Amino acid sequence: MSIDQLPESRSAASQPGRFRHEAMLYRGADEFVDRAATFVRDALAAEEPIMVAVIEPRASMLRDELGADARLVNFIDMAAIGRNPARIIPAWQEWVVRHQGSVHGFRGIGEPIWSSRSPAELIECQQHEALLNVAFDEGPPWWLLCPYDTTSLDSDVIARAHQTHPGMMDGGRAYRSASYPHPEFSRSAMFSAAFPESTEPTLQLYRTDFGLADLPRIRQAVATCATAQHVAAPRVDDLVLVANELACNSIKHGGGTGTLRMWREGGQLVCEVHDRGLITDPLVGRRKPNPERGGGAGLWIANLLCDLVQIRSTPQTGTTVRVHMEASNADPGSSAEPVSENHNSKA
Amino acid sequence: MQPVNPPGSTESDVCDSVSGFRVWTSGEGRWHLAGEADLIAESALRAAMDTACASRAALVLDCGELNFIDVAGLRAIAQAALALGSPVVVNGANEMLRRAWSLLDLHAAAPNVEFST
Repeated sequence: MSIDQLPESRSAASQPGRFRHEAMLYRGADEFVDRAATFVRDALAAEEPIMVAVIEPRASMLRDELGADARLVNFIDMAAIGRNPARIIPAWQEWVVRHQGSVHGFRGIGEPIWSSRSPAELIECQQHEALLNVAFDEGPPWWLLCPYDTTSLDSDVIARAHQTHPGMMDGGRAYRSASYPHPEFSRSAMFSAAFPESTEPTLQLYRTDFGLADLPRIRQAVATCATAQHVAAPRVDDLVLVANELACNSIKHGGGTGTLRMWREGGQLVCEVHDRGLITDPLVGRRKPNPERGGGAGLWIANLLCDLVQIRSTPQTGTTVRVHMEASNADPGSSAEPVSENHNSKA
Repeated sequence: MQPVNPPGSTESDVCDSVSGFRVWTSGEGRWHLAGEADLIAESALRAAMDTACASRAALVLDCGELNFIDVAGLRAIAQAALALGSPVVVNGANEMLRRAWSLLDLHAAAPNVEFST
């Protein structure tokens, strides 16, 4: 099964012989190491390959605890792969493809949520957790454990873990989550989730309506704005590519025109493209596009290149895609100044 | 040899000389892409690639003056290379083009494309 063949239907909860998606509640790093190491050793004893995607220092602590066994574990850096949580499902999908034909099962430990995640990242992480069920429920059986640190995460975050995982593990006890499945994480509800309110005043840097003829102007404006906001040089080109693809999506699938806005949120430059189109595939941008044809390549590229991608789409409001790119505060004096060319022309 | 502009390759009137897309051949399977290959230019790029593929010969794409290419443009090149089957050399591609080519896994889709400086 390749990622473009991911099933689009969803079962109510995990069953034996199916994808087993569990949240593991733990209290501090020591308990994490204890429980994760047990899970890894059980996998190795059963000859089940296991991939671990967690952040430091827990990755190193687990490696130390496992000793020589650590070499048998496939570690990937969650801080890198999960910087944008929409990149995590494709990583697990590769893992599934590698092992789906083996006689033994296979496992994973994935910790996408940690205490310094921003409110916007948290929402996307929680949607990612829910989308794991959409992506893998119909596939081969495997077991994914998602650790949640109850000593550093808000109780609301733990409640949402119950809403996005069919199974829970707490203190070595496994039980079915009573709040799964949850209406807030249905396919349509995720596409209408509210954007978190910014904690600080945001200054709009650029706004324009666009059509096909405006693409060159949009690319120029995004490059100028990103450079002025101290986005690192190679990533200015990345943002130009992404903004262009989002605008192309509006032109091709969103009624021919759209609106592009840019503003700053803390240490990030946000670029938003809004149009009248409707996206219904919950895994859009998470399926590796067919290189020769088909859509989804623009959002796939956006997920690979940006620090966070928020996709919202309803029949009433149309489609809004926001992409975030890290922007330094190297020169705060100029960073607050809007870009001089503040077009508002209509194609 | 006199440059030949294939059908549909004229500069778009909405673009200035920097952003307008241009594609032409200098013969013997050598094609030149310049400017910005975006959605406005997609049909011109595809038409040129179709013409290039019809020759069934090895193809050289000179991208030294190509400042921008979008995902559809990269796919058009990969599709042409795949249809052609014989070696395709992409000369002078900038960092952005190479990066996007890798991110879209086009190396696997069109293994006969080779990048050269």
